[in-house]
Amino acid sequence: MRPNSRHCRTDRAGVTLVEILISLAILTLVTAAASSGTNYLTRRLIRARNAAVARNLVWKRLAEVKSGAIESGRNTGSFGSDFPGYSFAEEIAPARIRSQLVKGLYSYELTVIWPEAWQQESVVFSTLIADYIYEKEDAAGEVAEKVAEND
Amino acid sequence: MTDDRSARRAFTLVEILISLTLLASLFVLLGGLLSGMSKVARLAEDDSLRDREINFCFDLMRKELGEMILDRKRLDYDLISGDGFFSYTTTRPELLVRNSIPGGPRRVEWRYDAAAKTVVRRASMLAAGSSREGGTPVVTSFLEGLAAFEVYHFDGVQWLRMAGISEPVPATLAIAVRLVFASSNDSAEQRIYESAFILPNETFYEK
Repeated sequence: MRPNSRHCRTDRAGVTLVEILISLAILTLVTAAASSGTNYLTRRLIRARNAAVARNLVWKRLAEVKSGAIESGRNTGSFGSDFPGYSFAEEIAPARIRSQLVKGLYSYELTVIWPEAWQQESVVFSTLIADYIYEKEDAAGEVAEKVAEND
Repeated sequence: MTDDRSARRAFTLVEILISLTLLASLFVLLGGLLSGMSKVARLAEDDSLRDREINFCFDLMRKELGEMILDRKRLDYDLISGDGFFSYTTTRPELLVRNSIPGGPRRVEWRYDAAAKTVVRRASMLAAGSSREGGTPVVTSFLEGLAAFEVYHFDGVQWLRMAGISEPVPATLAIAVRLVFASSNDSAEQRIYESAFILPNETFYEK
């Protein structure tokens, strides 16, 4: 019995090739998982940065829209060479409150789009804007007519 | 059999060398991974701090400009801007001082400090009814590492930069502020943050 057991142990002493391969495979998996995690974090970081820039550009575009005469419709554009890749799409429509059109009040939806590593990212911003600064007598008449037509 | 056993009793030089090589390559891999992780963490911390500071400054400007009062005939009630600075008078209570006495307009100035690479906000009470400044001004500096601070006004078509030494901002409905940061690792690359602030409708245009 004794020599037999010793024989058995000595046979198993040392590490077999299969065991080494398995341990290496496990280590490779762990390292790959960790490095993909790092990559993911870096991408998230860059995305967060770009989103911060986009959120501020939303304010810039809103200021431009509110500074001019407001007209219903869709519009697209970019933010110039200082913000490469950033573009916007906006939609202005007469606003309804309790299904009634309100003179000089518009609903405004702005989407700022920018390219990210694999796809496009965007932020959407929507609000109501009022057009009452530039409204002159004739313009007011037009709006009233439009409202009448829509009704 | 005895020969076999004695051959397996110890590691051979080749085995030890192989295991050492494997260990070394693993250490290299793990070291690269750890340094990458710490870099990500540092970047994230810098970014989030800067992000919060930028948002704070932009929000403060937006709120104070929203409660701006303007008198084109008086220098300390006018919206004045130039290269790297702008200043306005607001009725909004001072945010950055504890127990500040409410009431009364405040003159606020944001000015870029090129030497310190920060923007300095200076808020002082305007004594009611007179142009004399009262109390000690509140001076705070923000945004370490700022490379440029630019002020724009919107003329209805495009954004025009305020580039003079000091002049009244032309009648406008919105002004924009651009913050430029030099990237920490690559000096050629810049990070630009720009936001715009809508002025109250009655500021320049009377109904």
